[in-house]
Amino acid sequence: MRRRFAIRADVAAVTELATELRAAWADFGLDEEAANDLEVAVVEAAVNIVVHGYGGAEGGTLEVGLSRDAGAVQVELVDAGAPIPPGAIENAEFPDLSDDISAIPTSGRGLALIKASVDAWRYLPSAGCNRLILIKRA
Amino acid sequence: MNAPVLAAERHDEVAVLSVLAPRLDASAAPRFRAEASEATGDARRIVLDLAKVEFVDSTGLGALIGLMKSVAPTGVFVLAGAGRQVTKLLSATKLDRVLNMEPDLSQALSRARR
Repeated sequence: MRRRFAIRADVAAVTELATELRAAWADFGLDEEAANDLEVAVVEAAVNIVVHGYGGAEGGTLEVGLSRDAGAVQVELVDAGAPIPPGAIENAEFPDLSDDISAIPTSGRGLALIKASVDAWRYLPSAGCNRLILIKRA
Repeated sequence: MNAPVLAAERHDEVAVLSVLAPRLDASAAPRFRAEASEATGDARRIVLDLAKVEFVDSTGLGALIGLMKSVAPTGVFVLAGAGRQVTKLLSATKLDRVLNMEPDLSQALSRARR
């Protein structure tokens, strides 16, 4: 089973895409937890592309391809923005929480959340075409 | 797209903010921040009711943390009604260790009044 979506790279379009993807997760037979995890991973990856890859500029596009085989769902996000810096995904961690609430950061969790929400990932940046592949066993 | 993200009520000294939008994500977060700031005013005790919320992403989470920080260190911030996706998100990010969480609004109100 395969699905393919192409959206403009802005956060409102990511919200619309996430809503459409719910039908695909259901068609793929995912349970609620697996569907939620994939929604988190795809939304975080897509918003990262909008905000950092395209720097909030208009005119960017984002393609999202879904495929399902017997053991897993694979999601591929393809964009033409600036690539994620080398090592940024590998080294992403949730920020330390201190007892001092005022010191807890309000941002910087997106890449760590992608990793925490899928079973495997691969990032293939190249000039003008970055591919992020997310795999969830289900 | 212009429907309010929040409904606000005062219960004595506690400001109760109920998120009306089903998604607290990168699209909704800017309006959430603006509406929450206006609704809480100088309140030092805040309950945020997420019972209607189906999905929160890291941007929404950041907005929620910002609201919690706005009353720290002397105020009280209590989260009510987090669903399964939100609960897992808070656990994954370890924020459940620093957040006051209650299953529903009435228990959250009791806690905020303490």
